[in-house]
Amino acid sequence: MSSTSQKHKDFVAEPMGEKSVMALAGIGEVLGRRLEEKGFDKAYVVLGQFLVLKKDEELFREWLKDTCGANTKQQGDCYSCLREWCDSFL
Amino acid sequence: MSSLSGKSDEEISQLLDEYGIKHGPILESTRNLYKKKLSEAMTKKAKPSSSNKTYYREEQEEVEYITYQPPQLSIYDGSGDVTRRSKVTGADFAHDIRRSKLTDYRDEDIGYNNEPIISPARSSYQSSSRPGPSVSTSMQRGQSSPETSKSGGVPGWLRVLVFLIIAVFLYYVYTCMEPAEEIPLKSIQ
Repeated sequence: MSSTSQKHKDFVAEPMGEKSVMALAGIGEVLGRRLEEKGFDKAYVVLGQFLVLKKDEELFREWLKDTCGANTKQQGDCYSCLREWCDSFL
Repeated sequence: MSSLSGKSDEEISQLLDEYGIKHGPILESTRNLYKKKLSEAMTKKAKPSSSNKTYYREEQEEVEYITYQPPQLSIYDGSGDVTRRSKVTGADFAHDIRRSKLTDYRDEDIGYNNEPIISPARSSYQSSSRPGPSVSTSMQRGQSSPETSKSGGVPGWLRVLVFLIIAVFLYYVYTCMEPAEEIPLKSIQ
């Protein structure tokens, strides 16, 4: 597994509950604000979108790029964070 | 081509399936994404499920290249397979031209006679020596000698030359085998 950030490790360690969308790996302040403006104010809403896209990497990456302008690295971080969370808790 | 915005969710879902795009349910949050993917797929492919056709088109285009200049494609591999030839694209043409000139030299020195593909090598070598009508000569040779449909350009004179070489060689060997004649024995020594 490639090196994961501390943010990633913190997120996948426990159920997300009511965590903000900025708790997701790859989503900082700027991207988090853009997501909130679109209605994705909590991490579980983004999780919902991830699941609705059938956990497909390409679709989720593209959606993330279109919605908040995430670059390739940020897309990958967010995707792997959510996927690993789902592997543990879903 | 009808606009995507007028399509219902079901129609979008069907279109995605036709283009082979894996997708989930068409919801408010996903509709724009799928519409974007569909428009991208539509611009790439004229018709849905046309991937096979594009493959054939590529083959046809390459066949056109083959008839245009047969010798270089076959020399590159040294084998007579059509499938190998089909992999060579137009981008490799410049490389093939240079390579064919180099390999032609070697082919003539070795006198490699096993494969008939070498004859197009010689024709290209000849055409390369005349920089002016090189393309036209290769095309003419391709048209004048339709013996082999695959290579499309085996010159008759080359086959005769090869045959003569083999015949002379065999005659030499045959004369050497005759114990009565002393002349060939002397020629060996």
